[in-house]
Amino acid sequence: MRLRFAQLLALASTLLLLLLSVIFALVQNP
Amino acid sequence: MHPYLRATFWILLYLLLVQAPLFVLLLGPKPAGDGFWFDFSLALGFAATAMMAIMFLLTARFQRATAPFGIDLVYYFHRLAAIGAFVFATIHPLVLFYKEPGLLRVILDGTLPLHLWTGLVSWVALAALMVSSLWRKSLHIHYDAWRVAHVLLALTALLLGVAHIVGVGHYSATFWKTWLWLGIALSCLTAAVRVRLVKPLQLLRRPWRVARVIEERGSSWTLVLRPEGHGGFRYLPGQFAWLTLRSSPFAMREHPFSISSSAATAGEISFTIKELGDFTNRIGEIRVGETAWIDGPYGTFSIDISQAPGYVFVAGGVGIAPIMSMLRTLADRGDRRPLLLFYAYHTWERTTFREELEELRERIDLTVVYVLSEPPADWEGEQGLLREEIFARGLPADRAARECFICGPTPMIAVAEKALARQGIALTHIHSEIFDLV
Repeated sequence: MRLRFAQLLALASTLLLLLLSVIFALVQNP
Repeated sequence: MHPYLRATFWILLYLLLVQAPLFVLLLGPKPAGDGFWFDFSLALGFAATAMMAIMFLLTARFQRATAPFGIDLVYYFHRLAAIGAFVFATIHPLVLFYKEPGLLRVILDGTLPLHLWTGLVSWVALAALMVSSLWRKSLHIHYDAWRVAHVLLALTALLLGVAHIVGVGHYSATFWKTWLWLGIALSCLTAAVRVRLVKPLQLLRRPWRVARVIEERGSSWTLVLRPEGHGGFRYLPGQFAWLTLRSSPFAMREHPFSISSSAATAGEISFTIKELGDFTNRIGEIRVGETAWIDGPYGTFSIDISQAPGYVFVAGGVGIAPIMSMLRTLADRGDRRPLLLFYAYHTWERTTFREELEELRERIDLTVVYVLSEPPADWEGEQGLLREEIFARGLPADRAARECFICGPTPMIAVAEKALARQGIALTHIHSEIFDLV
């Protein structure tokens, strides 16, 4: 359970940053 | 504050810190967009650097921040999140090479300007970090050498990454944006200094002396350490500490081991260590009277944190060490709550602490289910690998009320967690300790 929790958190935070990077590029290039 | 609330607070703080640089770069004066893919690539580079920076904070051993999770899990998370940072740092130049093929030619021609060289070397250091950490054992890299290289490569990757961002100057041309990145680099340096200089200095003032070296079954050794000129420290049964032997605390030759002694007795502290390679193979050579340094205690794997009317323990091999600490503590306290231990080992002959476990059964309400993968011919107990049917046969009727503690190799933990959950034990009652980190 702990391992799965850490895996999910790592995946979710990485995907969130990926999404933010896309938003960053979209804000700069509307 | 409730542990879940504290955990949520630290997770939110992590998410805020790791995302903040991207948001901040969009504030104030900024360059015009250079096309979606160009800016996306830059954003990935910023994100990768922010993630690298956070890795320094994750591994700075802040006891308050790591306590709600257990520091073993924080290191496990560090390992996973670093892979994400590496993927971002790799996609960042690949997108640029695709959009601007001239850039790749400049690298191949060897005419790369300094501010791009820093980025390239930063990526190479990060790649070396990944390979040496994920495949350390396959590559036969000695743990002590890996520790030193890991710190140096991490510092190189981060500092050159920041130098690359500041040198390129796109999105960080303003004074305060430059200082944002320099501040991030300084914070990481501070975290590294805290772990590598401040902590060792504190340890120097609190030396320990080896009082006994006891050979146990299963190629394991118990080191009993006595505080020298100080009162030692209090710990919870099941916690672990970083142990330094035969070198200075500054030498980065410390190794995490579970404390196996009873937390009910003050002063002496024991570690039970199995010969598993590198440092541990020579643990039997340690002599009485040698000096040791202990950084700890750490971890949340403890009956004192999770109170229950009874406990279930699952140990694989030397994973018995923290569980012995809990059983010995319960015995010393005269605790009569029901305890069940599933203990997996290869052979009966090598099963560590089997005699003491029998003795403990007279002092506490303990039932032990041994599971041997290579049982003797006349063995009538459980055999094979730990699996759900063994738990189904052994678990008591009041299983749902009990708290479970699992310690052993990572694959065994995964099997036991799944099996216990399927047998009706709530996930919040299942605790595990990862000791096979790198």
